Amino acid sequence: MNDAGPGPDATPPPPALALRGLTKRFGTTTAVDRLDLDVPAGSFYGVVGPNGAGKTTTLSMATGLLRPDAGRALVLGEDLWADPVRAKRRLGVLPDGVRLFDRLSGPELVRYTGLLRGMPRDVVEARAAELLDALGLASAGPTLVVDYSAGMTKKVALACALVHAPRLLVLDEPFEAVDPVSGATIREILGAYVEGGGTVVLSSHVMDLVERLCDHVAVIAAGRVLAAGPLEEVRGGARLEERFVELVGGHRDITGSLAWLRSSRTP
Amino acid sequence: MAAVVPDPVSTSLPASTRAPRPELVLVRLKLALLAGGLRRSPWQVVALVLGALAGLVVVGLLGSGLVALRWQPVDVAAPVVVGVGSVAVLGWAVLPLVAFGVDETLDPSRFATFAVPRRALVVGLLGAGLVGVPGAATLLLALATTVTWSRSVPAALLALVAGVVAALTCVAASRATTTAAASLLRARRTRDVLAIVGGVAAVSVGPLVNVLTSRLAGGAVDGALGVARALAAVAGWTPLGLAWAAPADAAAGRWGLAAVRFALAVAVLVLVLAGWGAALRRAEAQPGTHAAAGRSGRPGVLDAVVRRLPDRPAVAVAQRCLRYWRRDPRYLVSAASLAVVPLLLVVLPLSQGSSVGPWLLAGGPLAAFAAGWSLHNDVAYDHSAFAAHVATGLRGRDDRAGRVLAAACWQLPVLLALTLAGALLAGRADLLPAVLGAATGCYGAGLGVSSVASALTPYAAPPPGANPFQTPRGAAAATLVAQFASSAAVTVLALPALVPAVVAVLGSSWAGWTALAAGLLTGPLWTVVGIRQGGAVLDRRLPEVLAAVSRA
Repeated sequence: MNDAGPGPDATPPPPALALRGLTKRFGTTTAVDRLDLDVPAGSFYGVVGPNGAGKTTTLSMATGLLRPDAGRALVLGEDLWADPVRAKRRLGVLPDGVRLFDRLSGPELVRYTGLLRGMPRDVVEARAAELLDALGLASAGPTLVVDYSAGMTKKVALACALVHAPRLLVLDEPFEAVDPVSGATIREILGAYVEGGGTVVLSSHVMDLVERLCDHVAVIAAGRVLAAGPLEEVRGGARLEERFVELVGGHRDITGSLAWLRSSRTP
Repeated sequence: MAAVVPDPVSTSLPASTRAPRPELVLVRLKLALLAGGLRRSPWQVVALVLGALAGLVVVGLLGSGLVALRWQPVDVAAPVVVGVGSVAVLGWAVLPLVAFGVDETLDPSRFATFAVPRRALVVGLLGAGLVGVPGAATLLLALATTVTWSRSVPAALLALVAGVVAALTCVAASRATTTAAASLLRARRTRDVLAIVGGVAAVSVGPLVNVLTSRLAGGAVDGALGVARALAAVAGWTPLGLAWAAPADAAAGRWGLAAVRFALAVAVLVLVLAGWGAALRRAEAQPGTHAAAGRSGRPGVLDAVVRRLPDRPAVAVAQRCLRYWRRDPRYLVSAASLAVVPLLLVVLPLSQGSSVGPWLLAGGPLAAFAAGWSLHNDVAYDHSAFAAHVATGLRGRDDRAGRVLAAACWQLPVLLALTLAGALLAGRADLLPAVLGAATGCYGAGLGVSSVASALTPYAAPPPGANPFQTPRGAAAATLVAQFASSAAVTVLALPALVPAVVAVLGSSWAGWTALAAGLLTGPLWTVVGIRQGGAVLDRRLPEVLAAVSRA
């Protein structure tokens, strides 16, 4: 067991998120394989990887939603799986592929999440109103979340993750299904949050977005970290997308196949 | 039943250029899904084997009865076959609404994007409905009537065809009623009222028919056979019994009558299928959860009460649960079945011709039992939204307490009213302490056991926005085990109040006060113990519970 982290030379404060040997198997497939990752405090960290790389599994294990078969997750220095309640206190989560309590209206849902965290009602109500206003959801009023569009749902989930002013924010695919205008708003909110001393970890398929937004990046494939560190180091002069394809491999030349897909041929 | 596991390759696209009929593809898809489920979990194999064994026992018993009827005169065999057959059709049509739900492995809405012709969809789903223990058992028994009516070759042939028609009618009826009821429930304006009225009506139709016909037939107990014959004669002309009665006519040589009934039976099947198709079309037009546009979250009366409670996470959970009790059809169905329990207790004895009195007394405690126990899978109704409770680090006991608080908020007054009304209507005000004690004991034990059970053995439930009458695939066995174990536990824990209550009913009314004391003591005790223990279990198993309820 390493003490504070393997590289004690540069960073005096403990990492906002430290994953140590995280492993998860589903039946015979190993989704996440002894994964180590350090997210420095105050960083804007992007996690990229191909479909099925284990991003969601990793982030679920890092946030207490999925129990790892082995390994530890340290949230702001607290061992999440040793004392989940304590570690979750300063952690905000936007899970992907998870339903919301969607028979509530937007304000009700955000308030509910705050109250679950034991916040006083008047604080929750003020913050919920402010968040929904900033995210452009105030006009939805008492519409139930079940009737929201996909993008609105993402935004209200983000509001839920933010309502208790966490120190670490873990967002799984926060920009999926979000329109460009809302995307800009979310980027602005997240940027201000990091400037104010918060730490963001987000996963995404969109390399351009990660390149523009994040200062650190980790490339994950087949449940392992292929490269991680400051953005400049990882992409090494090239564009992130090129570096990603180079690291992950598996790009297939499809010239000549799938001819039947061309609409000139009749079925 | 191991023979149903197909080669997975056979379910992929065929190499031949001719596309297979969509009907067959659907049946094959159901088999593949069944096989996939079996491969995923050994418990599903156990479940299927147990289910198949139970099915075999039923088929064996009833089937041998049908074979034995071959050597009885037609006028003895006919009422039996028609009566039992009609009950079977009724059961298929009504039971999924109130009890077991319908196996929606092939949820029709999933085929919305595939441009499957609705006709093919209906036929294919009908065929797929026969795959599975209940479908197969019904088909086998329906075919067994061929033996019963093998008094001549033409009669046996008609019995064979009519048997298939009857079995298909069963499956189609269950689909039609649940699809129609689900789409009705989705409509905002009507759903609150309809959930309750529909549930009550669905359950009471059968017994009410019984009451009416037995009254019409004189209802004397000595003429039991006569009554049964009269009932069967009536049923033979209803949509429930036409297909069963046709071959009986043929066996008796009344071919004209047989032809009429058979034609009508086919017409009934076609009509039921058309009704199902229409309900599907309506569901397609407003798919899934987006049906009721403009729903809004207005605060209700109970919210105002809860708002006055202190800012505690448990109170927040309770407030959220109360909103769900009002806004979610699945909760509405669950609440409606609470109203059905006492109604059954009045109607059933009436239909047997016995006095209602003692049953009225039992109404309150039984409803209390059902209400407390109904929370035993509450987490599963959250589906993966339960992740919010996990991610926020909510304490298990707050989660438990909130759910109990919300249910008790509206159930306690209802149960109190039911119990009081029962005792007063039965004219036994002296037994009030006994029934109140029994009801309190049952309700407290139910809440306590539910609080532990929903953390310990959550099983998949219909996801939000889905047909509230469906049971997710592969959940049947886990469902049965969890339901049986939890109801047994409630019974045992309620014994301290139930035993003196029964003693009081049997004659020593002083025991009623003992029952009341025991109920008031053990009820809250079990609830508090359940919330604490269940909370501790939930704290330990949060990710596992989340995984269990996120399935389906």
